Amino acid sequence: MKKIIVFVAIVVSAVLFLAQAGMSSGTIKIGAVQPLSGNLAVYGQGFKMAIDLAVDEINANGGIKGKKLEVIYEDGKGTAKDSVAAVRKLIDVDKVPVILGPAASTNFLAVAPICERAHVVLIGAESASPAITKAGDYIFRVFPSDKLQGKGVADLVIKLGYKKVPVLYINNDWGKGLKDEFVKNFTKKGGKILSEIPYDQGKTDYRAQLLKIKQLHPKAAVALVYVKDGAVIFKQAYELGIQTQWITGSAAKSGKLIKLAGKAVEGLIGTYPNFSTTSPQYKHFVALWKKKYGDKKIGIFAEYNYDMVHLVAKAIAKGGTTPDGIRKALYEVSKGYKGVTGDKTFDANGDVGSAYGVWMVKDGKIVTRK
Amino acid sequence: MTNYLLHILIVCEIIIPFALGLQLEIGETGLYNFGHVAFFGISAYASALLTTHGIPFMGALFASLALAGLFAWGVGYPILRLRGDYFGLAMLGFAEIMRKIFLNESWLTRGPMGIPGIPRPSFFGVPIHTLPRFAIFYGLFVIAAAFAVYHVTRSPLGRVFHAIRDDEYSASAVGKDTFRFRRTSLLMGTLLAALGGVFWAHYITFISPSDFTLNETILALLIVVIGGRWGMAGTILATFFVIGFQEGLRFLPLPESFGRLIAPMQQMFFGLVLVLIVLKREKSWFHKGDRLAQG
Repeated sequence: MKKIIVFVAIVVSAVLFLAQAGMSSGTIKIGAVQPLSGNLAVYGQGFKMAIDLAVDEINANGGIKGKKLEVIYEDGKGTAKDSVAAVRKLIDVDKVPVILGPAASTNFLAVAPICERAHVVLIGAESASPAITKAGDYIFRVFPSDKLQGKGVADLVIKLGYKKVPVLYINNDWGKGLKDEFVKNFTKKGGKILSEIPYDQGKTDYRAQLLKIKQLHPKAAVALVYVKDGAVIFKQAYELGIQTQWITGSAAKSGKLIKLAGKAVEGLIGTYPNFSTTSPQYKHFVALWKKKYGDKKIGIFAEYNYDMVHLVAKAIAKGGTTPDGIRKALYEVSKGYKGVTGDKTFDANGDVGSAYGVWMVKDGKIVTRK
Repeated sequence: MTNYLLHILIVCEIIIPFALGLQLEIGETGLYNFGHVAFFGISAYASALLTTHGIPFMGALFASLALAGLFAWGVGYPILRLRGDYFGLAMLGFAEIMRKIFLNESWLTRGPMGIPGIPRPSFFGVPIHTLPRFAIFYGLFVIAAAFAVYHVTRSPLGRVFHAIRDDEYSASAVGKDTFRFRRTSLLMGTLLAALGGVFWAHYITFISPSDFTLNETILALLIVVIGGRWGMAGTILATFFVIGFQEGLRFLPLPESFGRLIAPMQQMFFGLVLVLIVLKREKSWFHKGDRLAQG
């Protein structure tokens, strides 16, 4: 018994000592919840590398007003439960003013109400769900909402020279949100919607919807689809002999679509969010990455994470270290800010815009279209 | 710091009924229910959908419990006829089917996008919106649930459960309709799991299919295996131990490169505990031996 007490005492004092040693006053601490283990750990490590890259760069250039920026990482394990616990810990124990949010929209949406109620800024770099737009005043993201693609698709259809199109869309909040934005932007640019046709996900027969399109004899048709249902739709359209230029978004941009639908999707054109890889910002980022990580491949969304940290640092420099100061400053510093991933100006909902690229299926492969 | 500790307490109060349900099924009756999380999910979804459509919390709570109970009744009818491992596997399959339904029936569940903005509970006009209120409100339910479990395990009904766990054939030989008693046990366990599910949905205020995977069942299983030998009190203490252990790791001043190893190590540690306990005790782990003749 005595031994156990002595052992516990030693462990407790060691933990307290180390915790004390870790607390230095010359740093500005911000929190980050990332999936450092679990199913999404592959991505989480990449996000962390990108965040560290930006933090190192900021600190090498004198930090924020002479103070070093420090990120406290907590493991969200890619689940809602652990992300929530991690956010609670960052808010209540570490008392950070801003949290770099967890990956995956489901985890992000689980922690958003907590940050909103605690008045702590939450900012994400890889969540695309339209529901995040309305998540609250303290919630930001540097990744474009899926909704924005509606405008991207409208611009593409106009650019290709089609004025009258029907639009077929998946009947869920992603599809409907995207369709509404597309219709709004397309009609604003002088286009005409021939028909709006919703369809349910996961069916094996879409001929009823496709026959409606066939009767219209459109030169082009917009189909806002996912991969699996998209494959069924394009295949059945091919079988029905519908001769039209199909245009889609980024959700169907997958090799699997071609595997499933074969030559039925040959010539399919779509948009996807992208950013310039020739901008000076991007070149700077790549050079930094090479210097720190050598030949390690740049992780998915690393560019967005990098931009996010720089924006937060600028907001802290301008607005101080209180959440409210940072929240207000984020709007100001982002105005016209050109990051690696393009213009990062936040709108009133804390969302950003994006440029869109064009992809198409050519000879059974997905290629970028200039 | 208080808020964080309160959060951990609330998570424990959510997990305790969930684990107690499994304790009742595995520990008391010997039903190896590997699909326990299905009922947690059903009630979480039911309550989330009802309250987001304007039904008051208390009404939604009881409706969700009833719905989960109905499901247990329905699947119990065929599945309870299976014995031992086969029962466990069939339940595992059922849980997977339910997860697929949450994921794919998006007209109802919004699919992988989950249900955001689940209202916070209110108790006859008193809003439960702060952490202390959550802790007290959920705590009252947990105490009531624990009280019920305590009495069931000491009642004649509980003794039949134990008899079924220790020797089902003997139990039926003395005239007990074991199918019915097994179903009663499954129902009770389900109601407890469902209570946890409702708590979960209204505390986190956002649910998605990824919250209801096999991992949650394994968590409860771990708790039951660690604490179940000491009955209900053991299960409750084990919940605090497991959740506290997971959260406590955040405060260990470990080197950063070690950080990503923590979660896998933790899983391995828990796995080791499970294996060691089962190896050491085999079937007699839950068998207390003092209530029935040794066998």
